[in-house]
Amino acid sequence: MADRKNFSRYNMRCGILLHAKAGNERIAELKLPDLDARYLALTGSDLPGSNTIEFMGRSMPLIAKETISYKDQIVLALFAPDYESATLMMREVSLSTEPIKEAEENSTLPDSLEYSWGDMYDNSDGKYKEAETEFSLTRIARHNRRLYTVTAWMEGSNMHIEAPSQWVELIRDTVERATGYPKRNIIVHLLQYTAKHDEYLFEPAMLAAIAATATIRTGLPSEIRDDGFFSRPAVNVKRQVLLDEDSRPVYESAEMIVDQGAFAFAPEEYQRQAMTGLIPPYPLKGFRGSVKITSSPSYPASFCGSLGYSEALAATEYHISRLAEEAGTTPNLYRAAIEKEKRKFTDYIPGFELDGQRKCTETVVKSSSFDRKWSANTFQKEEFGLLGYLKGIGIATGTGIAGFSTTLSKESGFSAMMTFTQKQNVTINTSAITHPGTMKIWKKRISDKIIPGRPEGVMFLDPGPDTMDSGPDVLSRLVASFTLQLDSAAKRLSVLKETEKLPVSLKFDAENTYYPCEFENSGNAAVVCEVKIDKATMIPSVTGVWGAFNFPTIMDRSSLENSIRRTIMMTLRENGMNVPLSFRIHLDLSEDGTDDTISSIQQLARGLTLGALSNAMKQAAGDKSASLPISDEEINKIFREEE
Amino acid sequence: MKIDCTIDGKTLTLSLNSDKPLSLILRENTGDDVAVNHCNGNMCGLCVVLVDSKAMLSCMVPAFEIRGKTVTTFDSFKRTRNMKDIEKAYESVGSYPCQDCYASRSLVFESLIEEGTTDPEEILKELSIIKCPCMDPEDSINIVLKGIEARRKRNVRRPQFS
Amino acid sequence: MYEGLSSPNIHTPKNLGEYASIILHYPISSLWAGGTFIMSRPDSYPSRTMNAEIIYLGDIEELHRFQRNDRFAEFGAMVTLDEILSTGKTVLPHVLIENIQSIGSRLITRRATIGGTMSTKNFTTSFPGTLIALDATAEVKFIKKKRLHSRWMQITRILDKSGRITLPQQGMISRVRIAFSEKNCQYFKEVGSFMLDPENSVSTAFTATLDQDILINPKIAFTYPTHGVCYSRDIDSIFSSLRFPLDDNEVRTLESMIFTFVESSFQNISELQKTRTSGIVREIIDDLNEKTLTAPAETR
Repeated sequence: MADRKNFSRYNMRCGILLHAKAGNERIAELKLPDLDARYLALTGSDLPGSNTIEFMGRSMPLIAKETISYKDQIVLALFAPDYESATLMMREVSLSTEPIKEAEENSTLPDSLEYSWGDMYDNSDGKYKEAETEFSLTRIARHNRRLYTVTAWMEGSNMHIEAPSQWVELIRDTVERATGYPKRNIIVHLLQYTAKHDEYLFEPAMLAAIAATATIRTGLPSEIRDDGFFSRPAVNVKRQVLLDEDSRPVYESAEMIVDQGAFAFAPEEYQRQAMTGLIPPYPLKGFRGSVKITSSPSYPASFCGSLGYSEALAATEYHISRLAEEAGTTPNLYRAAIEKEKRKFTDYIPGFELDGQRKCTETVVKSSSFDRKWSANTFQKEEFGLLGYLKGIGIATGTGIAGFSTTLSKESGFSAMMTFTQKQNVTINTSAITHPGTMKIWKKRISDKIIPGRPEGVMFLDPGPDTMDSGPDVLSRLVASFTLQLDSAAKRLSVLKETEKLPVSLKFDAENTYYPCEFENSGNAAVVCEVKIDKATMIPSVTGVWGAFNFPTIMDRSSLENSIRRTIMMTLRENGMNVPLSFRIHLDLSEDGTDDTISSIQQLARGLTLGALSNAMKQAAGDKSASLPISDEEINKIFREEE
Repeated sequence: MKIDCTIDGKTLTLSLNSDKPLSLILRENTGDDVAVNHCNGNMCGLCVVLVDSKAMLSCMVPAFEIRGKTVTTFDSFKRTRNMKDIEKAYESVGSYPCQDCYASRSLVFESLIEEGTTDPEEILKELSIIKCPCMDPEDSINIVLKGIEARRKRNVRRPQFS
Repeated sequence: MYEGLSSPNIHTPKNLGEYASIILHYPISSLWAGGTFIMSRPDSYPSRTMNAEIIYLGDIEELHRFQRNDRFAEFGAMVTLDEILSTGKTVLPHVLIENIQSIGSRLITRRATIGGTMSTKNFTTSFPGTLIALDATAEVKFIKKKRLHSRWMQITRILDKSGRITLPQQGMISRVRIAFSEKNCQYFKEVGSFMLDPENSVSTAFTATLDQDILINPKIAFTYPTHGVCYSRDIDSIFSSLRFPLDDNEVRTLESMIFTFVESSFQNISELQKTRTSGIVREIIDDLNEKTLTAPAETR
């Protein structure tokens, strides 16, 4: 790896940012105080190259120029010899704005994605019972309490960037576009980070472009820091269903509307992922699904917070529980009654057997006494009214998917290269340098196939000008899909090394592009969540979570369990839940060893926890509680209104 | 003002504002970039350091209070034998903090292990200062208990035979 | 040094005599105890408005003293909450211990001082309310005619009409005296985070002696961090006129009386604060009802 920074901070410029206080406004005046030569202010017009960040065919401005598209958008970067001077000087900057009366139509958004099978029945004869459900998630847009720091400095003809990032290539691209500095000479040093969602994607790249510009303009190393931000889009799913006399769904339509914020990145991929979660697991004569992306003057979610599968899966699970309520039975029994042995094959997910999911469901239902608790809560609620009984339990069951859709994988062409060298070592050229634990597992798996017992002979090349772009590491995409691609490449290389002249190289896709559906199912899980609202304080608490996860293969049981627990905890907390002392997560992990596919734990565990939690909150707090995250203030409001 | 202190074993004389928080001093003034967070009063709990061996939130310690004191950040603590006990505890429980809170949580675990706190309520109260939601309560308690066990084993001296 | 930002001068008096001479010399200065509140304010650093003179009280030996006899405990203002907990957990009133424990982590209680928690500006912690419920007194030091004077005062006497602790100009709390209470009903509850969500948080301290079915010398104080302490002898009198157990109607009447007073003191407390206040009052009443219904009088 190239040398890390070795300059004195006294010889550096420190930058901070001015953020907009509201979106959908026009900058009327940006008044700066008198700045001497030690200061540097950068507005949208001061970048030597293009003032945009761009990925997967979409772009947005780095710094707002005339219009402020969203609240918290960067309006100005101010560099000073130290952070104190920068902060004090920034307080003297005055920004006046005026609202834009006519909102611009966001023409870059894709059309609504539609998917359907069978003909729909108009039910004018009232043959079927009609039911409607609605699931919604409120936008989360807040600072994540982390300070991002990005440093840029020059060394000879190279521009060095030090940053935490899920996607090194995005930093290099953005810096090149903003500064005109050739990408070959941009070297990125990764700082460690934990991305709980899709953070560390566009923010570090934007900060890097601004810091690099300051470095070029001042000739001095520049550091910029900013509070990290997390944004989850607002989601609304409305379903209309026709039920037969046994309350089985026969025809169904589902409409999902997602507000991605001011700019959408990879919205088509979001639509595909969301549609995969939206398609119900039970048989239907007719289905119409649509996923529509809308925009609003709020902070954009990089990859829409979770690429959409989790939210859509949660929405589907919420819907099933509402239908069970309608049918007067528990969701578990209702599900067993309406589902077949196998799911329907669709363009989005194969028609896999559902017995794996059933086993997981049985496990959690038994260990949590779900049926008994669900029935008791329903009964108590009817008996004692809203304020008397504030407990709820919910269940969600589903399958895992991994990585990007087949369509995106084909379009994006993220790749890597594996080489068997003359010294009998294996080198891998990829930008997918991820966490040390994963790298260790990768090295072992590759060495087992090519150079058994010698994992130290497997080397991932340091990032450099010739690094191949393997795409972003969002939501453990790399662990899930890249692992299999590495395995398959290693198998092929182990044959080639015997037949070809060394060194022999093999270029391969970072994602499997040959799946018949958009996604492959991988692993099954069921989650039960129990909540209680404290009557005196209105604080919602989770009393327990029961989870059963079954995977084809488990690479590292301890890491997997840790990852599931962490995802469950984070999902609960980000949705406003309090975790009391008595809280426990009861996990049951199993592998069947049938197949070698790996799913994204974050997507699956997050989606199911969200679904189970929504169901539990619905039972505890009634109809108006469906929208998560929920705060004690909102619960209080609900009950006050009811009173 | 000039402040003499010891940070991670280095004796330093720092020239800085007397009310500057230690978290910012560590980030900006020590010559090394120390990975403590600074959340501007949001009480993230991700800036824990040991000041004279006691765990403290560095954002709440002003510069003038570190005069003559010894500050240990996770950067130097991670190389100690005490950290090995905590790593063992992480391993045996099969749970470890995320990268964001690894340093702070480990230092709070250290203070709990050093004090031999076994009361679950006390443990969780102490850890409640760290707002990162990556760890569930049960694992946190087990880590402290395992850490105490590892520390005791290490502290038991083998009998010397002449 | 940084442009436009002068480093505050730090004065570190070693005793109260030195403190007096410094405060006389620099009448406009900030008193710094544990710093937990000052440092946790957003954008507290860098600040041009920070006073150029800071008097750090941590080195004043007298303010670290802790005394006790068989009637009361007396703490210097710089005794930390953690020290109070470790020295007096078994002897101090339950309501005070619970208040300290409600803060949670010792990373905070090790730095927060009893004097500091009472003297925060534009913000009220839960401690003044608890000390009122305990009938505590505080020694206030102040400058008069260029000399340092001191006076012991009931906490209620230094509580102004708006519910905030108000000290004379250049005054400070130097000691707090808490009588060992024999009251058999002590209750403390803090709901919500005072630091992170002050608009929705509330704390309540309640002490009384339950004798058969009546309360003797009840004291109840509600604290709303951004407003102040809500305490009235009238509410105490209402409590002492009650006969337990109370039925639902009586609870509702009591609640409405309390709310009339709370709302007349603080017009704009949030809806959630109202719900929480009512929830806490009900918990206290439930507890008292339970005690009167289940235990014979002599064992209470």
